Formats: sequence, C-alpha cells, structure tokens
Amino acid sequence: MAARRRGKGGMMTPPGVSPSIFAAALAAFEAVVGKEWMFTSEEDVALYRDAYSPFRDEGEERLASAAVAPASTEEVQQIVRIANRYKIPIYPISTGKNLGYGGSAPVLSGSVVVDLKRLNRIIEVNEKNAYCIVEPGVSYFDLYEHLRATGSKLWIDCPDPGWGSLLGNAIDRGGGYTAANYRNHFDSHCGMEVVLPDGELMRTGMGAIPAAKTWQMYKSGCGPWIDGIFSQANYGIVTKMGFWLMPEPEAYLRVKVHAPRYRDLVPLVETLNYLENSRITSGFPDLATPLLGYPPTGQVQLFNEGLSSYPMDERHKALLAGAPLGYSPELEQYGLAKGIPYWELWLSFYGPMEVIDAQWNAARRHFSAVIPDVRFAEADRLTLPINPDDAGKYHEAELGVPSLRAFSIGARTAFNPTPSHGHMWFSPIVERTGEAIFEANRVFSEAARRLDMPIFRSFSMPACFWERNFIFILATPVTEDAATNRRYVEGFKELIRIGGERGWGEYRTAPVFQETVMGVYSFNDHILSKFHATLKDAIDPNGILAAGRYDIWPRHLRKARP
Amino acid sequence: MRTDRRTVLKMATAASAACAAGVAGAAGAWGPAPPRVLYDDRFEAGRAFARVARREGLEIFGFSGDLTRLWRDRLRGDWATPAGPVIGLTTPRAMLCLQQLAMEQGWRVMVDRNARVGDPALLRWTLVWRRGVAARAA
Repeated sequence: MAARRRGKGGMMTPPGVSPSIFAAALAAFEAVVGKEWMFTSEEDVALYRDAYSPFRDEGEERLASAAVAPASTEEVQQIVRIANRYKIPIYPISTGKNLGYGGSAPVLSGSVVVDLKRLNRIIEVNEKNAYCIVEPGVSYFDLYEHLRATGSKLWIDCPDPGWGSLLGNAIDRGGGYTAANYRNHFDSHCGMEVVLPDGELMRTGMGAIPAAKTWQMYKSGCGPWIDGIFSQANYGIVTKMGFWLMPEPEAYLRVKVHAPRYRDLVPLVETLNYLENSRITSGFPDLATPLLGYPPTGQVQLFNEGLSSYPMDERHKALLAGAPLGYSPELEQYGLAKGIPYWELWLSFYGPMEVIDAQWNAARRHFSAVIPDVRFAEADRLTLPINPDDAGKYHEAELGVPSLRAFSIGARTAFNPTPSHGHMWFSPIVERTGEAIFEANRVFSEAARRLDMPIFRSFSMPACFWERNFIFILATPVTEDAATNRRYVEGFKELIRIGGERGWGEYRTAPVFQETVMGVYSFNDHILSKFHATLKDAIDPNGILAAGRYDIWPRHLRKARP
Repeated sequence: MRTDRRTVLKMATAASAACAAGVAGAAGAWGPAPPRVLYDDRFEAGRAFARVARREGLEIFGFSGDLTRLWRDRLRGDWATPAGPVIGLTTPRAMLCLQQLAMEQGWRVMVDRNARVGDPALLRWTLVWRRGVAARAA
C-alpha cells in the first residue's frame, strides 16, 4: 500500500486514501486554517522535501502530499481530529530544519505535513529561575534576539547552525556547545504541552496540576515521567516546552591540553571524564589530533574557512599515509621530534574568573600527574559579555550566540577540497574511553574500506556533546550521482549493523535509516520495539500521527512497511 | 536604475558568458520591480557579478561565506513585506540556507536552479515573493 504519486496536474494521496476522501479532508483542514495556510500545489509542497535526501527525484524519496500550517494549539487539535475522522496520516514539523537527519520530509510518503512554524510565541522567560517556555516555531535566533532585546542575562544553548527550533531540536534529541547541563537539549527541558493523537491536550510534569506554579521548575511531577515518549517518536504533537537556560557567566576561558604520545589518549580521556563528572570543567570538551590532522569539532568551521589549520610538510603527509589507523612508531617519533602533539584536548570554563583559574589549576595538576610531557596553552580568556560584533572570532555557539556560519562550507578550501551537496550524519554513541576511540576507528575503518565508504578513511575523532559517552558525527556526502548515493545508503546501513554488533548504536538518524538503526536495539527479541508498537496501538489506534517515525508503525502498516 | 534583460545579461556575462542564456531566462520572470543582488565576495565571479550590478544602479549585498549578519540585520527585515526579487550568486549551501529562511517569510526560489555561473562552486538563483506570513507575536 503505497502513496499514490502525483501525476501530471494531479495530487499525491496518502496510502489507502481515495482522492475523494483526501479532498474532503483537505477541505476540512482548510476550513480550520484558512486557504492561505493550506498548501497543496506541487511547488508549495516541494518546500517540504528533504534537501539532503540521497534519493532526490527517485522513487524512494519521502514526499508529502500536502501541508497545513495551524496558528494555535486549538487549531492543531482540530487538525488532529480531522485526520482521525478521515484516516489521514499527518507529520508534524517545528521549523523543519533537521538537515542531515531527514529535513522536513515525512517518513511515510503521502503524509500531510503539519507545519508548526506559526506557533511562534515565546510564552515566558523567567529571569530569576532561568527558564523559558516556547512554542515549536520559536527558533534559536528568535529567543536569542528576544533575550538581548529585553536585557536578559540568560543565554541560549544552540547547535550549528542556530536557525532551527528549540523545541524541534530537543525532541529530536539534538545538542549544543555550552555547559554540560544545557548541551543536551532534551535533558535541559522541563515540562511539555502535548496534543495527543485523539486531539486531547495534556501537560506533563508539574503542568498536570491545573494551577501549576512550578511547571518549569520540577521535571517529573509525580507518577511515571512520560516526557521521553514524545521524543524521536509519534505519540503526540508537542505544542509548548519549557527549557532551563544558563545564566550569563562572568567570564570564559578556553584552553588546550597537548599530549605527545599515541597511548596518552587513554589517560587524557580518563582525566577529562573525572574533571567533567566532578564539574571541575563544564564547557564543551573538544578532542583533536594535530599529528593526524583531525580538527576539534567546535573549530571545524574555522578550518573550513581556512582561518585555522594543522600545517603538514611532505614528510609528515607521507608518514600519515603509512598509518591508516592513526599510528606508526615512525609517525609518533616524528611528532615527538617536531613538537607536534598527538592529541589536543580543548577545555572550556564558564564562571567568575577567580573560580575558573582555580579550576584550570586543578585540571593542569590532574593531567600532569598522568601524562608525561603534557603541555598546556590558553586559547581564549574573555570577560563576558563580549561585543556581539566580535563573536565571529570564536565558535559563536560556545558563547551562546546563534549563527548560520555552517553554510559557509561549500567554498573549496585546502581542508574541504570537495564540498558536497548535503550529507547524512553517521553518529554512533561509543564508550568514553581512549580505547573505544581506537577500537571504533579500527572497526569502522576496516568496514568503510571494504564497503568503499567515504567516512572513517582516516583516523576520526568523536565529539563530546554528552556527558559519559562519545559520539562520532561523520558526514556521509550526498552527491549528484544517484548510483553513488544508493551505494552510500547501503554502506551506511551496513556500518550501522556492524556498530550494533559491537554494542554501539546511533543516537539519531534520518528516516531512510530508522528501521536499520532501531533493528540494532534488539535486546530480548526486539522487546523495546514491541513495546513501542503496543504504545502506538493504544495511543494512536488510527495510526494517523507520524507513521513510521523511528520505525514505530501503526498496526495497519506494520507488516508491509511502505 | 536599469533592471532590464540587457543589464542582467551583462551581469551574467561578467561572471560567465556560458551561462548568460540562463540568466536571460530568469530576467523574464522578474517583472517591473528592481532586483537586489546578493553575492559571495570570496569568489571573483561573485565580485564580477556585483560590479556590473552596482554600475547598473542595483542594490548589492556581499558576504564572505557567513550569512548570519546579512540575514539578521537586513534580509529578514526586508523579507517581512513584499518586495522585488533577489538574485544571488552563491555557493549551493548558502543558497539552500537562504531558501529555507526565505520560505518561512513567504519567499520562494523560483528560477535558476542549478545555474552554474562563472565558477563551478557557485549557483545563480532568484528569490521571489509569494505570500505573507503572520506577524511574530512573541
């Protein structure tokens, strides 16, 4: 049962829905939102295509049939009730900026996108308790500018780029770059309002008390804490969400720790973990390797722009070519002789400068105790707030400033000789140890060479977005060649399966990979997926909401996934 | 201020004669409103495009890869109300970024898709007004 594709002058219809029923449903949607906010023309609906789809213009591309943009929670409720009445699959998006993880395209072709961009109110900013409540259409830029305009002393935590929705990013479990307890955007939320698949409105946590005074101050309320089932799922449409915000720090210090030998990575990571888990450092830690030429995650933009680099002479390049897994005795000796660090750990600190200096002193003492010949350097020492015009000198997101700078990639530079037309993020979570970095490189590098995949072809470093784990975030390019893209998709799936055999799983993925990724989470004969299905059948018996999202399908589509 | 087909052809020719026909096709879609010109000044082709536009009296906006300030300080405000088209010569990524942002404010990339002009790293595109959006109520 597939969506009926758009013919010449015609309209795509959802799977199993007749053109006449679909027309009646669209008319009912339009009666709710008005003609201006009902999108059915091919040109308008094309805006909801995934700009980074590996199947652009091919049969497998996920396509919406129409889109509707409500302006209020009440209109969302009405749309959900109409969808139930006519059995129309709907797919909510916030601002639809999820590039690399599927964009705004539905998992099930033929779904009607419910575009929540008009729900764009900043409901509250509470300065004294450092939180906000926002609707799905509020972007990081919107909140940043609101805070600046009102003289707030609160920061946002935003990803690269900062154009997306706070709410949308959080419920897809995205992350940012400031202090540890704000970087994980889902973890930093507090309280939701949700339109359930039957159109009822629910508030979670303390918000379930009608006269709630602490909705954004205490996360769980009493009884089962259910917020998690509304992330990376299809059990409701989140229409309001609270977030804890970071008070603007007095100062910021960013430093580098240089370790000279290959095996130093193990004590380097162990010490980082101790420092972070003890809150001696809380800013975004960033691992790089000057000797192997892999930049820190937060500095990739500067490398792309040619503003930073790890220079290499011909001898260095030759030694590197002879060390595909990142090590040879000759390469290590070369680095030692030339004073090029094997590993470079960037640490950052927020707070009063006298506290930061004490933390930095303690950090140096701990590294010096376990890494012979370790060296230290200060990169940036800033009194905050900085002049916004100066933010571009730094990785803005680490200073709570949203940017579009990620889109400056595209120019050919020495670091980026072949800019792509998009990418698919391969992003497995691995243990937070040096040994895991070595092991993941060995496993994925061998597989990538066998599969002729363009990632893990040189030693790769993970990012430290979350506490207590590493995440590799590697961009598999989308090219102009359909056959190459198809090969990359299949190779990507195989890398997911290989990672799963090692106990590693993706944290987030695009619709084309969601079945494969969730297949890895298979403990006890896939009991987790079965539980998801049980919930789906109970909460959304008509299966109207975001069918297939993270491989959670309604009963009528479960056996023959479209 | 000249925004006729001939002017646009000259702009494109400055960037790349080979793509002039494509630009001419785009010109027909503009109508009477004067276009504004947006270019990536990291590229000689972009600078050439802008030089001709400036000579012809068109309003030009340059940026060096990072669109943040241009969008935040100027384009977002401009796009809040109907206006003439914007023609750009940028990298595909910058075009994608602007396209996504512009569509939220009722603008659409209408023509020129995949028009390579002057430098293989660049695309020429046109944004045109389609519909308004509700005022922000924050």
